[in-house]
Amino acid sequence: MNLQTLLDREEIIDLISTYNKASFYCDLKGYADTFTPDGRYINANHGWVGFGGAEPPMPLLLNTEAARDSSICVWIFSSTLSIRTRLS
Amino acid sequence: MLMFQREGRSNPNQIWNTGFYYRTVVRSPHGWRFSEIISFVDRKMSDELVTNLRGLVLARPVVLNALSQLLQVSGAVILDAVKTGEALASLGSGPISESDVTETVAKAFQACAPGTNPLPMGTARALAYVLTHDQVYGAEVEDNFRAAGWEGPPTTIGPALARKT
Repeated sequence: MNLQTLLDREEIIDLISTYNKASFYCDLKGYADTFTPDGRYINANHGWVGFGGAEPPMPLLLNTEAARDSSICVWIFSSTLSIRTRLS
Repeated sequence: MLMFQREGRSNPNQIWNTGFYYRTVVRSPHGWRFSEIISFVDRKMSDELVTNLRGLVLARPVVLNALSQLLQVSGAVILDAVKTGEALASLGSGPISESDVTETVAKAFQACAPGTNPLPMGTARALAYVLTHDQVYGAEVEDNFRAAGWEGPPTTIGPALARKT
């Protein structure tokens, strides 16, 4: 594994950490900043399909509402992360 | 993804549902950023929750208008059908299949995505399928885990599963 790959991994781990922290503290700007301006968050069953930079913060609000209304859950992730290159 | 629900006043410890969680990152001028996060459960935890929340997604104008055009019924009729769990394809007056419904919702999703970050058809179809088709109960998933040797705490089976057994 070359140095660039290691640096990329470190940055992506930081990105995930920033995202998780922003979610936990309901920091909408911090949350939105973890997306590209044309990024999207699609949460089909939790009532939101967010497209575009302005929409990603919304699931945070909805998830907060959902968390308040339902029992506490522990999420066990088998998270898949894919890295994509774009021409733009 | 597995979601585990901690025991509460009305429920035991249980595997609540399973789902899908997928993130894509791209390098932007400001560093790595998420270009897409997709999350959905494919095993329902309760009729009410999935039905109500599904209604919120399908009520979005772009999606609802596309369905309304396909089925030739008003948006209100479609949302009523979602609430009662009626198959959307059955609302159409002509020969409309379930795959027509899935395809229409998928294309509506694609229409929402910006040109710089297009939504792949496969992903759009998967989401549309989850939103328009019934799902099995989480208790069935739990049974599979037990059959495979999982020894979690005892849980109560839901009425739907009890009917089957």
